[in-house]
Amino acid sequence: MTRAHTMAALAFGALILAGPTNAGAEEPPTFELAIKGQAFVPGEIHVTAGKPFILKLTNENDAPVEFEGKDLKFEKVVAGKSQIVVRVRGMKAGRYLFVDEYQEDVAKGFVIAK
Amino acid sequence: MLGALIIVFREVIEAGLIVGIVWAVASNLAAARAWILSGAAAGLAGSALVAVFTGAIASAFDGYGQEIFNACILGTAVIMLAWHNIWMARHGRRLAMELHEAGQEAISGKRSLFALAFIVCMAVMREGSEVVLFLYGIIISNGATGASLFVGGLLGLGAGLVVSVLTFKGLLTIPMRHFFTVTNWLVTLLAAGMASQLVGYLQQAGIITVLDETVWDTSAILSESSVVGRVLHTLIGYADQPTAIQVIAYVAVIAFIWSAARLLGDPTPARPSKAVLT
Repeated sequence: MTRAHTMAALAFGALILAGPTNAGAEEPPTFELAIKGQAFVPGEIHVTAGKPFILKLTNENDAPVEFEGKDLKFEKVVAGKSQIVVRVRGMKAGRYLFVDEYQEDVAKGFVIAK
Repeated sequence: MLGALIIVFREVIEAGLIVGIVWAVASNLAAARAWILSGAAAGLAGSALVAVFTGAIASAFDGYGQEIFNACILGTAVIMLAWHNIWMARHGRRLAMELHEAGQEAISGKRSLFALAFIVCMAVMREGSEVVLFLYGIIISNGATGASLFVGGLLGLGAGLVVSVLTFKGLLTIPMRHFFTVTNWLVTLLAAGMASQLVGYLQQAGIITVLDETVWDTSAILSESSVVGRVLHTLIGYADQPTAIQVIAYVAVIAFIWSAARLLGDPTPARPSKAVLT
């Protein structure tokens, strides 16, 4: 089985190497926001359409939240009293919903791409 | 309550489908159940651990720890699934014919079972940790709605288990001579879907930045967040807005497993008298 084993490992390695790292690429802009109770502050983030960006979310609650933007293609758990970053791909102009999935009926915010 | 039901249902279904497939795949290997159950138990224990350390994991690697962690888990699962399929290509025919194994095959069979138990453990741990965090959140936010959310969560758990068991039973109704073909393809697609998710996480973490344009957008036809979309996402890696590199990873894994299984597959079918062991 060693041959199959090695081949699997090689293929996985090749997969990783297929995408070179972004040594020279410039970092996309970062937008900070927080969730307090059931509200995102600010509730709207304005970004440039077609350009990737980074969201930095601080969870000020004790309870964990699941920061999710279905169309924005991110989903990330944030422990209580902590901070995470998500990288979002360039979006077409429009208004995109993000929520705390654990209380998605009330905890909502929008990314507006122009 | 409905929200809680859906969240837990979704996570259980994702883990449950994988466990169901693995269970069906291994159902005619001796001792498989014990292995898979211990994998699931280890996964449950692991999910509690992951939940406790979520904050620490997330803040590692400049805040991309969660993506890297998920990518590592998926990468391991892809390798294990690929390995299992290649192993089955080598030994499956004989196992199907004899239904009991001996000597060398029992030894490598156990290794393959370990791989399967490991996949189950990973799947349960990944989805389970989200459920644990969610339930933990309900408990500490101690709202008046806590009890009904908890009931919703339990109903979701039950419903998810029912769907997983039905999937498993459905797989078992496949006639034996097609069984390996079907499950091999299921496992291959499962691995390919995981590879594409893995690449997605690496893109989110900014480790892969090439070929990140969206290839197609079928979210209007079948949204990835609908129940059917979620199930297809777990089973065959359906994505409504995949990036180019995700599609490449998907196709590459299928091509690799398929060709490796052919290349290393059981060389004896044409000359059954000359059975060759590893």
